[in-house]
Amino acid sequence: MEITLNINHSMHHVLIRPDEFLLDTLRNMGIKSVKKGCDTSSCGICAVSVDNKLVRSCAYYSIRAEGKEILTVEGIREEASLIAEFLTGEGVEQCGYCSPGLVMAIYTMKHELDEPDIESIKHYLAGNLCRCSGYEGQHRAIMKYLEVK
Amino acid sequence: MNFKKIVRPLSLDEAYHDVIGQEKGIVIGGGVFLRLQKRSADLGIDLSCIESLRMIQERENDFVIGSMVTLRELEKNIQLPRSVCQSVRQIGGVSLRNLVTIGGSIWGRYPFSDIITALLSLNSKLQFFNSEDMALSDFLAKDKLEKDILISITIPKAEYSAFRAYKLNYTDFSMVNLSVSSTDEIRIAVGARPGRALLLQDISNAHTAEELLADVEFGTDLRGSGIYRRKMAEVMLSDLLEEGLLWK
Ligand SMILES: Cc1cc2nc3c(=O)[nH]c(=O)nc-3n(C[C@H](O)[C@H](O)[C@H](O)COP(=O)(O)OP(=O)(O)OC[C@H]3O[C@@H](n4cnc5c(N)ncnc54)[C@H](O)[C@@H]3O)c2cc1C
Ligand code: FES
Repeated sequence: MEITLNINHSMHHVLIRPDEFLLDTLRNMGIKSVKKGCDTSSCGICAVSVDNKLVRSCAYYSIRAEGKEILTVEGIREEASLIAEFLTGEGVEQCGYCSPGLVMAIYTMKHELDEPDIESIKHYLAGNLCRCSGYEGQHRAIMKYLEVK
Repeated sequence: MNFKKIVRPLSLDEAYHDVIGQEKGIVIGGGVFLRLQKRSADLGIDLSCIESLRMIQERENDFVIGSMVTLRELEKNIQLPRSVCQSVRQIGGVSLRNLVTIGGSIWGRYPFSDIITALLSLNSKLQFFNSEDMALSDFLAKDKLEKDILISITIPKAEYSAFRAYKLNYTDFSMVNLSVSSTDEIRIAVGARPGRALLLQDISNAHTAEELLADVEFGTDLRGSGIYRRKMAEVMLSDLLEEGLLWK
């Protein structure tokens, strides 16, 4: 079936299977920042923004995304580079596999948390798994990025 | 689960027609748990276009929650009884809670469920498209579910309500969970025993957490032994009861 998706500020007509998930649709279109981790909605690595909400694209039906605004790292290049600077500044970039999902989580977090503090940041990030960093560096980087005192 | 076809009805009538239609229709809530099942179906019925199922309505004595309301929406709604928000906070992660629905969480009757424990202690009622309204406790006790659509969940306003879970890590399934609410009477529910959540009976004669939980069966699985679960439940229940007294 053919659907029309608004991905990273432009409209795309895409052919999908009826039960296809957004993760596969995006990757088939060449949007390779979106990574497949567990593929069982457990790790958060595949997270993208749909209408400014963080969702696991491996469990989000592509047909549900019609009429919504989908953002991946490719669509927020400037902001993503800035976030990446903070992450590298704290030595958080290691294998890098979880980074796109983490960057999208930080991006939506910035828009969603009114008064971020360390507790709300940790709570927001819980379930976004990273097997290298041990999370402390991520928390420091995000605190600096969000200018949490 | 694979679907050959997914329909997206705009009304409940249309959706129910698909549920009982010739092709075997499977209702899709958040679709997150269905996704994990290794089977296929001819037809998936996606409820996400039915606006009325996405509402949270506050009335004088209760709240009516549409079955497609997500766990993240419940978490962020500070008007709801506190135990509801507490019970969903540690489920999966924000990106999961933005997808998972209250309807799918109830229909699944998952023994590990956090939200079912909270809703059970609040004496919640369920509204269906075809069946009569039913107390959540009766729904959980049913042997087999008929084909139907869960439309909404009615949650009474509570004088006091609180939820506790013991998890090995922040977003893990609960090893055991508990909820205490005071609506028309005090109700205590225990879940993830690891069996399905249940309401404690005859609580007026028991005075301590140990006495209250004496008849509850706790089982053993890879997360913990029955003995450990009981001990943890006793401690959590003492805390909740103490907290409840302070609220008065
Ligand atoms: C990685 C992961 C971790 C989790 N951790 C926890 C946890 O710690 N605690 C916890 O409590 N839960 C946990 N869950 C379960 C989760 O919270 C949901 O309960 C579960 O995903 C079902 O919700 P859903 O909206 O995805 O339902 P779906 O997958 O869409 O549906 C589940 C079942 O309900 C039926 N259904 C759905 N909506 C309706 C309706 N309105 N009417 C009739 N039938 C309907 C479907 O046909 C299906 O049989 C976890 C899930 C995952 C994937
Ligand atoms: S790949 Fe989607 S949550 Fe792990």
